[in-house]
Amino acid sequence: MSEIKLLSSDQATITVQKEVAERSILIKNMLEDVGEVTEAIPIPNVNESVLKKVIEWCEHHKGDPPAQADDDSDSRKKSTDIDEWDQKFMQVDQEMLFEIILAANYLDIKPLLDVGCKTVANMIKGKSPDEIRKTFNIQNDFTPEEEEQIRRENEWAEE
Amino acid sequence: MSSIPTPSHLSTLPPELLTSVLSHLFTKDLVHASSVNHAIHDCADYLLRQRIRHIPELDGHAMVIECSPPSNRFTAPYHPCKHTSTHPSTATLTANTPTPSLPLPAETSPSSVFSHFTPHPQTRTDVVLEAGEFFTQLCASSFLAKSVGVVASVRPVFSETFFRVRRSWLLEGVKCAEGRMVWLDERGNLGLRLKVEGEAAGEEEEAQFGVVVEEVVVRSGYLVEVVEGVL
Repeated sequence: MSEIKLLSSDQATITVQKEVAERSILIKNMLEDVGEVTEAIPIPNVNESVLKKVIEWCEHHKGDPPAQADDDSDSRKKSTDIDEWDQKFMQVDQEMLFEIILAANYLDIKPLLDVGCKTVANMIKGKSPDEIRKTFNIQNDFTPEEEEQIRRENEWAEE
Repeated sequence: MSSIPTPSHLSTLPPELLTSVLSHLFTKDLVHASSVNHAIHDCADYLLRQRIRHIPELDGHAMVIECSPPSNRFTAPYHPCKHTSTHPSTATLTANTPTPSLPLPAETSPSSVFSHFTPHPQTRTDVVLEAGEFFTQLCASSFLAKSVGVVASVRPVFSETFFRVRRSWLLEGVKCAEGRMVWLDERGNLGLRLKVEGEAAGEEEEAQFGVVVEEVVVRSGYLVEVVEGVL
């Protein structure tokens, strides 16, 4: 089983099975382009702790069948069901959760990005705007006039 | 998720990732989230427009409607309806309003958009007002249906909804060339455009009218929720 090395943004070298690393389409394409590499591949946007976490996910999911192509950005499958292992995997603090999402996006690991987005969507589901602001520490940046206009626009959907 | 970070990681996500997160929400939650802040509002607005664009497909469902006096409501036939347009008005789209219905223009708020459906055939329901009666009631139901293998998927748009038609309204309707809107709910999400046929009669006389459902008009955002099957 061949191995490759990855170099995190904070200069940590991590050795990983090629098959595992290739869950990242970015790394897979890079390896196809350059062929055999002995040096560590720099991953400048991802630090060691996040990269290790992402690799943990890739190891668990290394045998998964390739993801189906998505034909629509708003895929209309608004399922937020998450596999049990992934749910446990995502039980991290918000900072790590969003770092994983950003890393999955950068490394082009669509199924991991999906799990991350679904996890955040589940944290929004069923909450009022105030509860959402509180959960994610978001500032309300609307003027009172804008707030009133949005309230009127959304009136149709109120309980 | 114990720690609360500063500043917010959610609203500083790049718009395409914030949109990916929000795309997993049903429309009801999407609308709630849209009043959190500007960044979320803009992505939610984009997604709602996308969902409204798909309305003509009704996720493979067909819309049917039934409208009758309450006593006939168990036997009145359902008629299939055809999507005619989705545009920012409750008025029927005519040759004089050549706006292509979809996609929505940027200045149009998705919440002000209505989807219009025409029943085929347009059948006449007889309405009789006894002498001295000022109003009578009608009952309407509409749902989306499709068969999924051997199972039918049925999603009510509105079911057994009673509404009053006043004698004066019927008499005015006889004189109108075009149908007029009747709302079935307080939020103005569900309406019928009704055309009245018949002859002018005195206030105290027995009078017979024919009521024809010209259009079923549903607020598009509400219809998206019906299609999602979460109402």
